[in-house]
Amino acid sequence: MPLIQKVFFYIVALSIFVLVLNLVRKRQLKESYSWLWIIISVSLFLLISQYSLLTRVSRVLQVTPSIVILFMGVIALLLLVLQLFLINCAQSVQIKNMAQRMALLEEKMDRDRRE
Amino acid sequence: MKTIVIIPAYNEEARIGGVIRGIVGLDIGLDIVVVNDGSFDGTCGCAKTEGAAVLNHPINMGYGAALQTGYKYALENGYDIVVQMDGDGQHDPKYIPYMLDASSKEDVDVVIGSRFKQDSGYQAPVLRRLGMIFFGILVTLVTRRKTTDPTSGYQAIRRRVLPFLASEEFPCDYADADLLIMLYYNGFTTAEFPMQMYLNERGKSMHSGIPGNLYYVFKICLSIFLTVVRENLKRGRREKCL
Repeated sequence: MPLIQKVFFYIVALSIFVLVLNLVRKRQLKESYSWLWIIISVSLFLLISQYSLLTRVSRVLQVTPSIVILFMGVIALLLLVLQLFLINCAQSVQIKNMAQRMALLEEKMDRDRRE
Repeated sequence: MKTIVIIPAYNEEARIGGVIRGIVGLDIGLDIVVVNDGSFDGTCGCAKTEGAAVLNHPINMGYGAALQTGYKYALENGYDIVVQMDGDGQHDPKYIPYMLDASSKEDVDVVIGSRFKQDSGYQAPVLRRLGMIFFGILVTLVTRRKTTDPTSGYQAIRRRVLPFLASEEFPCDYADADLLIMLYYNGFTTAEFPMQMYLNERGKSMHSGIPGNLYYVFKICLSIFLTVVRENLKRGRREKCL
């Protein structure tokens, strides 16, 4: 892999890593939602460092390395989207429970006021 | 036995009063709670005027979530039996004493009012009827108990079932045929009671529209499949431990 390409991808991987850590530091991103981003940036870094592994994989799959990278990028995005769906589902349940709790407490207050 | 009637309601201002009066008219000491699921009409006011307790959801969360709020209320307030019925007048309150009787005589955890156990003349739209038959067969095959009306929301439920219904295992999305299978796997008994139900006056159901109906069928099938898989895996793990 040409040196200029390596340097470019190292900068991209490092930027994602630093950006995510900074968002966690500023408490704009929770640690529990940052781990997948960190894994993606570290994986990108390792992929560039072990380029021979990438070429080996692409030879086995009989595609070009760029196709393998594209495919891995799509998988990474799908995993991020899946993580968002999981978070969304968990929050839906929390909202439901909170709304139910609110309804029960409001009724209890009404009843106490009447008594 | 302390008994409460749970009525989930969404924009039933025109009908909820009549439903509550029908229950009060039985004069058998039933408490009534209406779960107002984010209605934007006068459902809450009408229900309170008729003397029902009202639980107000701040947002519309659906029939299943509204039922669950009612279960949680019944659990917190020490009720022994819960009767659940619709707030749109489809369910005739006159069957409540018979369902309560069936629940205690037959020692059944959940008594389900069935439109099809005997010929009651109930005419559902063709597609919906086909769906009911399909899910009825599925439930019958899995639970080995004949089920003629897997989607009936008219039920009498004993207290021991309430912790399960109030838990996160309860399918708040659409609690229908898949719930009957979950009840079976959790060791609760069910039985059907023949009754007549009336078609919704507006002709609208919570499964309106083709996308809604398609999603409903998909969701129930997926839920049933996963429940069967989950429970069989649990059983397999238990047998391994023994």
